[in-house]
Amino acid sequence: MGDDRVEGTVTPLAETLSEADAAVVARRVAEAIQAQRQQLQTLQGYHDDNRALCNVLVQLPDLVSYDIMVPFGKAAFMPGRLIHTNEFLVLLGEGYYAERSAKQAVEILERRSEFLDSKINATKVHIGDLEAEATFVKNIADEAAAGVVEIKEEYTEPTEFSFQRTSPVEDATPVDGKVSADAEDAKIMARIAELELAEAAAEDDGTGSDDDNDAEVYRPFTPFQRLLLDEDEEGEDEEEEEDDDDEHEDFLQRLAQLPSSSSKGRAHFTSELYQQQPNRVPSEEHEKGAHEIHAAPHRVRFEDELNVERGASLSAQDRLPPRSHSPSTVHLQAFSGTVLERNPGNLSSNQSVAQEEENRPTRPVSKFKLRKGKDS
Amino acid sequence: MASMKELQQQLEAKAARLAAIQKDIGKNHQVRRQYTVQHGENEMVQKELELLEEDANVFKLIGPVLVKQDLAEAKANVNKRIEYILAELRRMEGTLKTLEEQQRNSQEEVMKLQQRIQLAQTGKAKS
Repeated sequence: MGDDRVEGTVTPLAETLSEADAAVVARRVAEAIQAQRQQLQTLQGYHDDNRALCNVLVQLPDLVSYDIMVPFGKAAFMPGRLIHTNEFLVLLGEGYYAERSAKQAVEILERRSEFLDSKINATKVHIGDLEAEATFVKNIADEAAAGVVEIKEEYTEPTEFSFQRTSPVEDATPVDGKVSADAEDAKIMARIAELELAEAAAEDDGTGSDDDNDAEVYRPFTPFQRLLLDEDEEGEDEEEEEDDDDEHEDFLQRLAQLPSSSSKGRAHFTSELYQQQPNRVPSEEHEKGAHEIHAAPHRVRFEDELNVERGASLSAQDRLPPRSHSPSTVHLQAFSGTVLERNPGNLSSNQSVAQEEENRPTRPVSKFKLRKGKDS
Repeated sequence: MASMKELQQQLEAKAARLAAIQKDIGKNHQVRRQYTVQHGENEMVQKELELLEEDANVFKLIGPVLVKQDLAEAKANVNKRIEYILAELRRMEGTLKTLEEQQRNSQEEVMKLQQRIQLAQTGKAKS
């Protein structure tokens, strides 16, 4: 959409931190983890030794003496007797020994065990931290390698301008079927700006003619045309359903009343509908300005559809007046019948037909007309 | 080019000095770690000695023999040892700081010299 406003910065992660650096950091962290693991293992070993020694100390005083093999040198043993089974010299550290009984020695060992436990826990926590760091480094390195970019954008209040600019991008999908596209777009639009949509729908009622003029390009038959071609086909088009049926009956009735052929009736209808335009035109012009902002999403979206179809862009002047979608299908379809009929010379002929319209005051005002007058 | 050679020599001298300082720092770290471990051990001994009864027999291993020691004496000895270690640690902290300061200065000097050499080289290349 040619948005040349720069709203943020985009920096590839690989730029801010090189892969080599990441690898170095990862290696260091891995080494640290390895060292801590080793320490943990030694600590666990001490702990196990301590426990084993405790068991021995508890059992040793059970007897007064033990027959044991005394280690003699490196490879030799000689038989001996272990006496004084309740006297221990406990190394306190720094070359200090204390003479303790088995029970007292076990107390010392338990204190040491507590100390070891705290150290083991601290080491485990440290390893956990290091592992978290390692995964973080690895993730960052992977992201950098995968070409992830860092996007920094200052948050600014979303203005109407940016809204207008961005919405077409989202909606710029080629339209194949008008009805489905309308439904789809209506859904999207409703989500983006439900309130604005509703407001626009309420105010745009009468202004859809120009839109429809463009829109009809894609429609094989207008509802009205189809009506003329095959009366039974009513309701096939999504827009021709339910409450619109009586309108169509009105059409038929009026067609029947008219003396001339169906084509003439068509022309008449055209004029009838066009006759209502003049009172709407001023307001339309007015609304056009007023809706520049309000209904911007619709207009731009629709315009974009056309652009995509035609491969050409419309200038700002060509922009279509706001157009309501699903909320006012009744009017869309009411107009669709007329708009296709219009040709370049239509405007001039408008007045003459309008006079013709005035010449038939006796005919009861149709429901269709009533509704049109009410809504516009 | 004479000045160039001078610069190179200066740089080498400074680099050597920097390396020496860094080595000192490394040594300091190592000794400090050793003292920290000893401090921990002594604290444990102190705690255990505090828990002993007054009439408990305490021995000190001196060389290959165990020498019987008075408990009070042992406690005093351990306390003195801890004090000594703490003083030593503080002292090493101070020397480490000065060493780091020296290292920074030395690094800056080396950098400046390198820049000057580079400048001289580019100047030479241009002319």
